[in-house]
Amino acid sequence: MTDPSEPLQRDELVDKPGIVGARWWQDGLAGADPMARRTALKVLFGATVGVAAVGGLVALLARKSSGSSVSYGSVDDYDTSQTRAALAMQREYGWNFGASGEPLVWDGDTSMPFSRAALATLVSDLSPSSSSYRPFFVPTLLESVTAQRKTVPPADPGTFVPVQEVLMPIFTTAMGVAFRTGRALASLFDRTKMPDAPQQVALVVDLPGPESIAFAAGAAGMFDPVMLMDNWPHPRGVVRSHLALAAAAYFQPLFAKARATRKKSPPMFILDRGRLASYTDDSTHFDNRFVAKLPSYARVKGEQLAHVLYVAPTSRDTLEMDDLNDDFVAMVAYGINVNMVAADSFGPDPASGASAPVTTPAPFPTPPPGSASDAGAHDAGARLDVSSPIPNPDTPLHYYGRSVATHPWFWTDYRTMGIYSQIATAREPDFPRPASGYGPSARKSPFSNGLGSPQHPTPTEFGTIPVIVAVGTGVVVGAAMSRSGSWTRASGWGGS
Amino acid sequence: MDACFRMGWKLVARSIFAMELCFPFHDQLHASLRAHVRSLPASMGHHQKWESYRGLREELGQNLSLVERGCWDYFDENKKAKSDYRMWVQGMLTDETARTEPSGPIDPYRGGGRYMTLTMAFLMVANSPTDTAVSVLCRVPESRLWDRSTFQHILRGLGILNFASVESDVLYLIPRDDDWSLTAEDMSQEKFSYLRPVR
Repeated sequence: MTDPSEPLQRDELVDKPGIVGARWWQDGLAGADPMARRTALKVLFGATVGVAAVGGLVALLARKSSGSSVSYGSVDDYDTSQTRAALAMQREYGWNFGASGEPLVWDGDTSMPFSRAALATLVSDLSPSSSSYRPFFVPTLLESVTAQRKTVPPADPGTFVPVQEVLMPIFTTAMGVAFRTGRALASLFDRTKMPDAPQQVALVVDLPGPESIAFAAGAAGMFDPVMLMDNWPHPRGVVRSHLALAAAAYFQPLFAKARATRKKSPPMFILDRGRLASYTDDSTHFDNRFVAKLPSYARVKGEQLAHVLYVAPTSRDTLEMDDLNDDFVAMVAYGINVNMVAADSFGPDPASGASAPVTTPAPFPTPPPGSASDAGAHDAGARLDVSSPIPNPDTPLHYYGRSVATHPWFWTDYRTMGIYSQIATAREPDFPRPASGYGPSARKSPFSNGLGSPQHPTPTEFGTIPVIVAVGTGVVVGAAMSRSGSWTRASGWGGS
Repeated sequence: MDACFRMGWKLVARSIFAMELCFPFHDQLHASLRAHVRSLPASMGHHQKWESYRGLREELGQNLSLVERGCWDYFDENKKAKSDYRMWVQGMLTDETARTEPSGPIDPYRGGGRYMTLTMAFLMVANSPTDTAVSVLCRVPESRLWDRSTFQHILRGLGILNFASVESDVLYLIPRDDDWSLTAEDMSQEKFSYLRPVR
């Protein structure tokens, strides 16, 4: 019977003039139950640490008992698996840690001249104009563009290429829609058209990454963008933030120009809706998720902001994302008005012939000043950048309620912002708008405590990745991702 | 019973890492490696096994400058891993690799022209931390697969092996006796073509 402390049993022995050798086998592994990867990592990590600890103790005892130079080698030799914060690993070992050589996949086209060197100023071009908003600015994603690898992981010594060298600007149909929606919403706050439009409003744009960027680009003439994307791209990223980055690269000239000409404007916080995406297999995914870091209710109050308007993708989205719940509940508790609007409440006016390519002038009538229609109608140039990189950026123009006539109805739906009386004659949209009745209520989730307190919970393993470290030194050897990606070589490494 | 048919063989995925180094025959190194292989007991604990390989890795690492040819590979495809491991084991159990007759004493004046090989292979539990770590370790650009520094890198990194996740390992030295060393003619045969010149 096998001694459990000596599970490796020699079952073949060759000892003859031409060759000497042996094979060992341990039977205990044959029936091992395949577990979920993360579970397996935990269990085996525990076992490994145990072995290492015993080994270290043996070594220590051996040295003590012999009093000589018995060597058990460097503790660096014994590595195992742990988890570390994904972003910290990327900052140290490069944005593509664990997947160097794997390409980023770009979904979208680009049709504008592109200066890769200009990416060096992406952070400053997309930073808020107003110094008072800069403390809220999270430049993490933008910083990844020029970031260099600080340390070469021992197990991944390949050549490092910065994001700047691989980033491609993209433009998609959805981005075009989001851009026009951003312009349409911004037009409602344009005081050249609506002198009483409230300015104490903060937008929270929570669309898929590229669309959030495009929306922000569309609204950049009226709102001061404040990026809150707190992660780095990765070839296997759970959050496909390289697409947001690619969208930012596309709109960089527009953001830069808007920033240079923008006067004091209300803030527009920009999020990637994929930030909390669920996934199941950390052997194939790199957990680059993050939570929103909105300013606290006190800071919002401090900026004299009375309203928060949360931009969700569709009318089916009737709740804010989990990681915003505590913030929004706290804001309401402290007298800040929190509303939600669905991006798909905006759209082209079928009656305006918007489906056909139209250049100028804008395809809607110009009503007399002060009329209901004029209150919310917008044109292509009003405080907005007319040199947009989008071909025909205002074709078609988008309107709240998807009609020129319903556009001002926004102020009826959102009368809590205080200018209802001026646009009472607008026509009501003919589709449900559940977001207009939204109000945050406390709920418990993995990302909210249900109390509206500023201490946001996050799941323990959120934003972490398994890594291989040298136990004795803590030095990271590499990322413990599987070979299921492009660096899998079913035909093997090395050769024979 | 052939280990291939042991219970569970078909149930759990395996991966394999193997390395073979070919040195010009060197008396002291050969004696040291032979002593090492022959000293290994029939039953071993995980840490004892790890310690034995640590010593071997150090020995090989110190003499890596002598290596003329070699190969290493890692496969994470279950079927391939098992068949390759079987192949490496067969290299020890059959006569296809080692000489079947003496090559005669080494010419004390001319020297050279004689070789020895050291082979090790590990059948690992696929997706275990050890397997994952080895796979990471073996991520080497194509252009550097056969660099001496790559062999050094991998030998050093093999300390990552946790034998709790190694189902089987095989280790053998060719030859056992000096006058059975491989000749240049042996090494030129097709069966040794898998050994690449180490740069």
